[in-house]
Amino acid sequence: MVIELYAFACGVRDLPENCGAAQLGHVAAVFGPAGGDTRDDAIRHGLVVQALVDMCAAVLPVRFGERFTEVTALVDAVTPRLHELEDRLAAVDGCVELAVRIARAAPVRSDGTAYMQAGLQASRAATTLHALLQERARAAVVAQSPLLHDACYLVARGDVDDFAHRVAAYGVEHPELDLVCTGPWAPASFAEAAA
Amino acid sequence: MTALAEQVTLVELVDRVLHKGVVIAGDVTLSVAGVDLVYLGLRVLLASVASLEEEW
Amino acid sequence: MTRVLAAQGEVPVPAPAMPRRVSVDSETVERGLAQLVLTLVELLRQLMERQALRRMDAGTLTDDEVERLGDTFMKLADRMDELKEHFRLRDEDLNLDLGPLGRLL
Repeated sequence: MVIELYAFACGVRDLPENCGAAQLGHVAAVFGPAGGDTRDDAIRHGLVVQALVDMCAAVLPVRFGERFTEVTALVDAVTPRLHELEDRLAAVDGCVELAVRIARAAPVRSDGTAYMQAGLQASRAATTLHALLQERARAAVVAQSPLLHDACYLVARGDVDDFAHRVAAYGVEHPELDLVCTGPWAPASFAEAAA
Repeated sequence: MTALAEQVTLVELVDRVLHKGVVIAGDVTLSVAGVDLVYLGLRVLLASVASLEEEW
Repeated sequence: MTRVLAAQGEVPVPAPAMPRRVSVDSETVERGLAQLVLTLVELLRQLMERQALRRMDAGTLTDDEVERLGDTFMKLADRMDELKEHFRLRDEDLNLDLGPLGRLL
């Protein structure tokens, strides 16, 4: 039976329905029967990973599509990387991921110079918000993006509400920004060691 | 959650699952339906345009 | 539970990673292609705008250049809105089927 790898975890209290775990030392490799390759399957994968966040102390999501013919094949593939996985799990222990994306709000249509100046103001506001949020996060990953700002922050579970309020409050002070903060996500952006 | 918020969350969920997370390289490869390449291709282009940006 | 924690204005969303179904009829193919093309143009516009803003911030653009660039970006943005409107993409590209989500919950 082909299996699909969902995530690595520590401190597993419970598992979602139809999931099993291969224990490698302290690290549990959570798997389930492999499904198809459709968007619905991708959604299901994501929902299982999210469910694990509430069931385990630390979760390291695995990308969609990691399949193995059987558990022993999974164990063989994972064992060489066990030490690295333990380190990554320790790094995200007790934390979740919050995504923040910022774009410039629909600008006033007057002249080109005003348009650019408003853009510059928005760009600077986004940079300042990032600096503020970085102080409240254990780590941050900033993506290359056409947006003004596109980043994920590793935040302690207890700090999530405060973090979200800060984003909302900053938005109110800066109507020139369109922004969104989503989460709490399993820390998929922090799953691979920093390049 | 409003319908729009749900949609945003779902789109982001799929995006994360496809592009983020540990890669192990299982011995059964994910076969990507041909239609998905249109969007995966866009993502690859995004990465290459972003690196082009460094040269500007 | 994963949700939108804070939002203001037009929420930036990552490009839809997987379309719901394979396009077979010509109208759907045309719209899919239009969506791709417009997404790319929008992407390039935003990248160019960011680059221009960086130069403006660094003081390496003349006032005339700032005015002309801003004017171009504004007009391009307006044109993009018109085209999106024409292909009715604003609503449909985020129209996701929540069927399996319902079952899983």
